[in-house]
Amino acid sequence: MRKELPDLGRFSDPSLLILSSLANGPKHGYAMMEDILQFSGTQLEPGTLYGAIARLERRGWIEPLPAEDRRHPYRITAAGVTALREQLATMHRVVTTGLQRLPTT
Amino acid sequence: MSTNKIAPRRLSQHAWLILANLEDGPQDVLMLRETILRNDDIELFPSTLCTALDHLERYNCIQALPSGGPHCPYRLTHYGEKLLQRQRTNMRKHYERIGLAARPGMFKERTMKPIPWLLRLYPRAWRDRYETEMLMLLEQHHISLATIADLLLGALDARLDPYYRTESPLFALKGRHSLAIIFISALAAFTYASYFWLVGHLIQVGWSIIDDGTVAVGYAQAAIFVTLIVSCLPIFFSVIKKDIAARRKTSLIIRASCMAFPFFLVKTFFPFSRPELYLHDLKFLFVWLIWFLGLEIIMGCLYTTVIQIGKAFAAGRKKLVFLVLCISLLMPLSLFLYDMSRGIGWMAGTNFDLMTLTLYLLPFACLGTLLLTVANSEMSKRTFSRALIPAALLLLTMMIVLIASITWILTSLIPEYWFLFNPILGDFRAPWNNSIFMCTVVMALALGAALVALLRGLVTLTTPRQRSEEARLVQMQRQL
Repeated sequence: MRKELPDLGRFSDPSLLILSSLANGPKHGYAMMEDILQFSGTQLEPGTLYGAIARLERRGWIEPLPAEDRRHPYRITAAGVTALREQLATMHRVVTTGLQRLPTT
Repeated sequence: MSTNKIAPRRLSQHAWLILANLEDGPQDVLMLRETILRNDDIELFPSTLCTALDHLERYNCIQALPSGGPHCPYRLTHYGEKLLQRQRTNMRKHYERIGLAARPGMFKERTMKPIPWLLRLYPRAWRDRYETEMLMLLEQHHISLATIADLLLGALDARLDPYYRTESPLFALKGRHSLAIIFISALAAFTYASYFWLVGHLIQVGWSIIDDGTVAVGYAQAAIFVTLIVSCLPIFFSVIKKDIAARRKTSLIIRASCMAFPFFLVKTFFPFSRPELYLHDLKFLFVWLIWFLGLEIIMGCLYTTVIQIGKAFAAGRKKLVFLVLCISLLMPLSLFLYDMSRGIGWMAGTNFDLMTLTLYLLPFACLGTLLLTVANSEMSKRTFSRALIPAALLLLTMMIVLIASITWILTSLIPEYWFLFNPILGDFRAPWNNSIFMCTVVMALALGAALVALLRGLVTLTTPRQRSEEARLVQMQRQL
C-alpha cells in the first residue's frame, strides 16, 4: 500500500503533484498550477497549492529562489528529489502489481 | 407591396433565424425548416414557421415568389437584408462591449474584491511570507466559488497549524495552567447554570411532573458528572504513583482508609449471610460489583481532593482552597438544604440516602480537584494530554445539554405550553423564565469558552517556530 507523505494530511497528493512539477526546473505558483493541470488534469486551487507549498518548504523539500516581479519561483531540493523518488517508486510498484493482477478480458 | 416598417427589437428569435437562413437564396417552407434544423439545430414546428413567415411578409422583410408547386419559395427583400445587416452590427457592438469591458477589467476587479479580506483570515506569519505572491497568482486565476471555499479551508488549516501561531493571539493565554483554569471555570459555570436551569424548569412545571425536558437535562447532567469523575482518574493514579515512590506514610494511610471504605459498606449491606440470594443471580452480582467499583472511584476522587487541598494549604494558597471549597460545596449544600426543607433526604430522617449525597458532592469535588491540581502545577504535559480526552467528551455532553435546553425552550413556545412566554399577556409568566433564558445564555458562553480553551489545548503552546528560534538563540549564545 502506498505510504502517505508523512504528516502532510490532505496536502499529501498536492505535494506529490508539486514535487513532480518542480522536478524539471524551478517554477512560480501560477506556472506550477498550469503545469499540474496540463500533466495530471488536476486543477489545484490557490489555497491548497500554497498550503502544500508552505509544508514542503518547511520540510526542506522545496526552496524559494530570489523573488522575480514580487513572486518567488520554487526549486526542488535534494531531499525533495529523494522523497519524490521514493514515493514514485512505491506508486510504480502498486501500479505494476495492480495491472498484473487485473484479469485480461 | 406593403411599406410597413418594423423595429428590429420586435422581431422574434425565430424571425431572425428565418432571415439569416434566407440570406443565401430563396427557399420554400419545407427547405427552410430543414436548413434551420441543420444550421442552428433548432426544430421549428410548421405552425410556428408559418406564423413567423406571415409576420415577416407583412412587414416587407421577405417576399413570396410565384411557383407551380404546392409551396411557394420566399426570398429576402432589400428591407429585410438591411434589417439583418443592422442587427448584425448591433450584436457585434454589443458583444464587443461585453467582451472588452467585462473579461479582464470589471469582472476580474469585482471577483478580486473579497480576496484581500479572505487573505486576512490567514495568520500574520503566513501572510508576511505568502500574501503578495498569492495575490499575484489570484489575479491570474479564474476565481470561482470553489476558489473562495478553498481559501477559507486553507485559512482554517493555517490557523490550526502550530507553526503559524503568533505570540499574541486573539484569546491570549499565558500557558497550560491558565488554559486549564479557563476550561474548568467554564465547566463550573456551565454545570451551575444547568443546575439552575433544571431547578427553574422544575419550579415552573412543578416538582411532581417529570417531563421530557427534565429527563433530558437530568441525564445530560449525569453524563457530565460521570465525565468529571473519569477526568479525575488520571490525576488520582498519578498522585498514588508519586505517593508510593516517595513513601509518604500519612498519604498512604489516608489512601488506604479511603479505598477500604467501600469494603466496609459492602460488608454491611451485602447479604453475605444469605448466599442463595446472589450465587445464582449474575445480574444481582453485577449490580453489586458496579456499585462497589463506583464507590472505589468516588473514594479515590475524594482522596485526591483531600491530598490536593493539603498541598494547596502547604503552599500557602488558602484563598484558592476557599474558592475551590465554595465551588465544591455551594451547590450540593444548597440542594441538600432544599431537599431538607421539602422534608426529603437524609437530614429529614426519612431516608438515609448516601448515594444522593455522593452524587451531590462528588462532581463538584472532582471539579475542585481538577482546579487544585492545575493550581498546584502538578499537571505534567502527559497528564494534561490525557485529561484532554475526557475534556473532549465533556464538551460533547455540554453541547448536547445546550441543544436539549434550547430545544426545550423552543418547544415551550408552542401555545399549549405557554409557561415560558405568554404572547397573549405579553409577559413572562414567572420570574424563573428569565433565569432559564439567562442560564441558557451562560451555558452557551461557557461552552464557547471551554471550546476555545480545548482547541488551544490541542495545539501545543510552544510552536515549532518558537522552538527553532529558541534553539537558534542558544546556538548564538554558545558561539559568543
